[in-house]
Amino acid sequence: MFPADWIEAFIPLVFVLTPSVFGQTAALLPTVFLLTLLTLTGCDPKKKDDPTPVATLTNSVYVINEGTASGGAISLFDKTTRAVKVDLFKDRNGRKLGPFVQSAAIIGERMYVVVNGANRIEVVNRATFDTLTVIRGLDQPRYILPISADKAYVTEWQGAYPDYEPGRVAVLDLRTNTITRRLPVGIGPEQLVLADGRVYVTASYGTALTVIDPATDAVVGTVPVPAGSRNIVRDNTGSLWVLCSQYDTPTDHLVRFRPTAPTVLQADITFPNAYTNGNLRPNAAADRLYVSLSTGTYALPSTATALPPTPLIARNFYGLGVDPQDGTLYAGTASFSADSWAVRYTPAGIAIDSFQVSRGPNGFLFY
Amino acid sequence: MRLLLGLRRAFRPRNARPAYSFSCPKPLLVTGLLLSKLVGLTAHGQQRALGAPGDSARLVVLPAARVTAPPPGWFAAGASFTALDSAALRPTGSLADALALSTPLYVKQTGPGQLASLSIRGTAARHVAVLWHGFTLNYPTLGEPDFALLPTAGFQSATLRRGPAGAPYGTGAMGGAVVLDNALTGPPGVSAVADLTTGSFGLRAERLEGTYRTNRVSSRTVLFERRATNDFPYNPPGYAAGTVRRQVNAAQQQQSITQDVAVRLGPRTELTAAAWLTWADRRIQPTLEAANDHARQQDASQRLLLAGVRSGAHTTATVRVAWLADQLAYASDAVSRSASRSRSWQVQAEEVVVISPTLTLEAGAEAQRFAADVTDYGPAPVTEYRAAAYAAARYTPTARLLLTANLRLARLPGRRPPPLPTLGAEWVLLKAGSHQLRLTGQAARAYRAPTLNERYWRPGGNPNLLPENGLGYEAGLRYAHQTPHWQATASLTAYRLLVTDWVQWVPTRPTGAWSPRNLRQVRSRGLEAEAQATHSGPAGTVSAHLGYALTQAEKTRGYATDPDPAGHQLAYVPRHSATLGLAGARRRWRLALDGSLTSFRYVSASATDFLPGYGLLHTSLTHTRPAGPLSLTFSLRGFNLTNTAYQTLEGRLMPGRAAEVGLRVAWR
Repeated sequence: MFPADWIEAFIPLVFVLTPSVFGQTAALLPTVFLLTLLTLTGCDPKKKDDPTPVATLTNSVYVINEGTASGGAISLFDKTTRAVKVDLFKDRNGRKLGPFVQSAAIIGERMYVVVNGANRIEVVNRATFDTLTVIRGLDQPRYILPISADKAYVTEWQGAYPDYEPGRVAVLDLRTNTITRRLPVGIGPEQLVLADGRVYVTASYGTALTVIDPATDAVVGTVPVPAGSRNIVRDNTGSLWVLCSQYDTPTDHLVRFRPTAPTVLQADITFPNAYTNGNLRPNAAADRLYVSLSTGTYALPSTATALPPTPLIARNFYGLGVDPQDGTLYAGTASFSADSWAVRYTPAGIAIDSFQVSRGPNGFLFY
Repeated sequence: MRLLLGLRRAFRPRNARPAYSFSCPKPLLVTGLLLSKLVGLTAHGQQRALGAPGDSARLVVLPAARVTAPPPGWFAAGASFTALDSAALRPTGSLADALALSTPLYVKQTGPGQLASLSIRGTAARHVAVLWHGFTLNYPTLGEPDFALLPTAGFQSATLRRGPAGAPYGTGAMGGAVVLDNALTGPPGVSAVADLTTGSFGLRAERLEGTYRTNRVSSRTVLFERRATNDFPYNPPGYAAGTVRRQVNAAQQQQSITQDVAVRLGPRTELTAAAWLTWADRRIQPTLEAANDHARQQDASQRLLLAGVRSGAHTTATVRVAWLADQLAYASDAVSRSASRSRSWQVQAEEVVVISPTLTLEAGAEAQRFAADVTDYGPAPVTEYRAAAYAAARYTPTARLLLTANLRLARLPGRRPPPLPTLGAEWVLLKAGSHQLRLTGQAARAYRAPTLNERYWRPGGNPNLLPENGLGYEAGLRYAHQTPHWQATASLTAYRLLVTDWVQWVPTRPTGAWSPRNLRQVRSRGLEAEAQATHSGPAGTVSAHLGYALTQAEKTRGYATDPDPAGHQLAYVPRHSATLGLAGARRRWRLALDGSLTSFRYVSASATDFLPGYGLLHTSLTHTRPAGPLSLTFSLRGFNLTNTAYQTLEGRLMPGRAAEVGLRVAWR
């Protein structure tokens, strides 16, 4: 976009002022200069018109690109054609999503995109990516968990670094897209999981998970964990796995326990502080878990009591996803100064291919 | 050049004989006159120096001036200079505003009056050194200056040098350097100037200047204050054309106090003291679409200098001591407090010797001690020592040839950067009547010492980081034309700059902490063209200028751990940029029109997303009239007349159309 009125403003002045002083012929010179400069500086690169992938069931992968202070993006990858649309939201709505897109969830025909640096959730039509509404009034929102067709929970941090305060869970009415209640939880709440009629909420700077009864939206108790917790998943046996890593502590823990007997740890795997986003992810059957640490990306059975001696992939990833259809791993590289890549691996850890997305892909949604 | 800028014309005795401090005035005077003719500068306020030797013109055209040290550029044949003076330096603006208005350099701003950095010849913000009395003002913690925090009230003029210049300026002068000049000029006796400015978006600024001058003492005091609410309107992208929002959390205020004193202790000895104190309190403008996190940054800097100069028969010896301190405090909804405090002692000693009419030599040494308390370095303060020795030579074997050479040997903690030489030459190719054409060339090395942040930041600080190294070449043509009514200069410069061990922060094993690493090689090539013409006649003066820069900067080589791809234009480096200006003065009126054009800039190293090209148009109208013992100047300035929406950094809005009204009251 180049302001045409600029030319209109400047050129007549050159014509009027220059001849009067420099002589008639000299007027040509600055005009030629000007037109050359306008041409040189006015040409923006043409955007390549890639065939736009259309989201189709079982064939589409949404990539959550956390982005930088100038904004994040949601990309769409077509598993059949391998076509990529890097920024669905901006292309459709003419504006960026806002800084630090932390997470997103597909709920029905909508996608809820949690934009941490904008303190809001963008609600879009999943198929068209048209903006539907914006849920404001959140404070440092992190993750969203659908509880039912009408309700979702959103974790929120409170306070400022390094003086964080106990966080909260916002109860979201999905019919009206409004916040109806707030529940107190631990400091720095991150991921949350629904297991056997209870919601377990992590706390980055706490030593306990908060347990919520989603039927009454009431906090019903806590579960102790060895250190600040960030990732939580449920395995095929119904046990919960929690990745605990706290910035100022030297040892990380990967613990497993039964929700019915939370004080008895079935596994407590320790390793030197190596979190770097964790990315604790189960496969579709939840009998296999992946975790991406700075020492590499590991695969472990849900019965494991130790990390495998060697990682499945000798790389750490910023984001990790497991395709529920075929177990393919989707891994995002950590680049914020350049566009990042999503690398695909077989469940055995063999690289398949890669595609370029936006900056800092931290998660994948499979549709 | 580690030269005594502030002392150049520090003392101007009324009855003293014309003195050139190198004490063999005649031959040098001849050289100076020759150079002044070559460059053909005038005292016109719009002048744009094309070659540094041009500064010598001022040495000789002011016969009463006592010159105690060579000007910047004396030892820099073939280097590219641009002078920013009265017209560009709006009395209540900042150095960032002046550079954006009058040079084709890309000034990156996180908002109006917010953090401003410079990209010269495709290099990064940390690759430009700002020098005050020969000492760098770059923050030792961050390695770069904030050009918005350098109000023009703090100096008299500024010279921009493009291209690597490690030998004269030391660390950081990789893409170039900005040399501030605090020369003590003005009429004898007492004089005073007051500038009052009011403008759009709550702008209020006041500048008060008082000077005092006798045969022994020269003094200048400048007080400055500026405040703005910066609640400028904008049409947010993605919303209907009529939607108007106002920028939030962008209010700011800053103050500056400058004091320069020069005392003549004897016929050949002068003492200079200078102080420059600045404060700024800025709300930090959130990015587009971001939540208002109520970020606030408070900066303060104290700079004190004491210098002595002694001129002998063929020598000038200078000793300078400076104490520089910077404090920064930041807080927002996301960060409760982050504080940084650094200070340094720096000392320089140098001697200039005139060996013969055609040969001048300079030798000097400097030592620096840095100390910093930074929240993120840990509880204990860190200290660091650096030292360097430097030398320069200027040789004019024939009237048509000028050769200069510089060398710096630097010492960093645990490191000895390679020797930093600079070689330059200027040759008068053509001299016909009032026309002059010179061929210029320069080869230079530069380096950037690892900053304190890069070495001590926790986590990730890398004490083993190597300095960045630059090697640049440039060649140019300089044309000058001067008649009683006409004065014109034009220059064309081609350059190539290679930076190795370019530092990039990347996540590292085993902790995953981001850490700086010497990861890549960056090559920058380009062309720079400048032209200006002035016609002075009985009816008035008309002048025009044009500047253009073609910049191709790309990463050419990197290590596997460097995620950025090679072979693309670097982020935020426009390939084409230009400035254009027209000015006319008649009787007491002056009208100027300034425009700039900037081509698209990629916003990341992948060269995919970009900010579109834009053009800006500014104007100013001033009228001066006497009122008794006073001289009143009324000014009206309009900025971004076409109300162009643009960003210099992605998501950081800049204001649309704006106006400023100023009144200058000068007494004597």
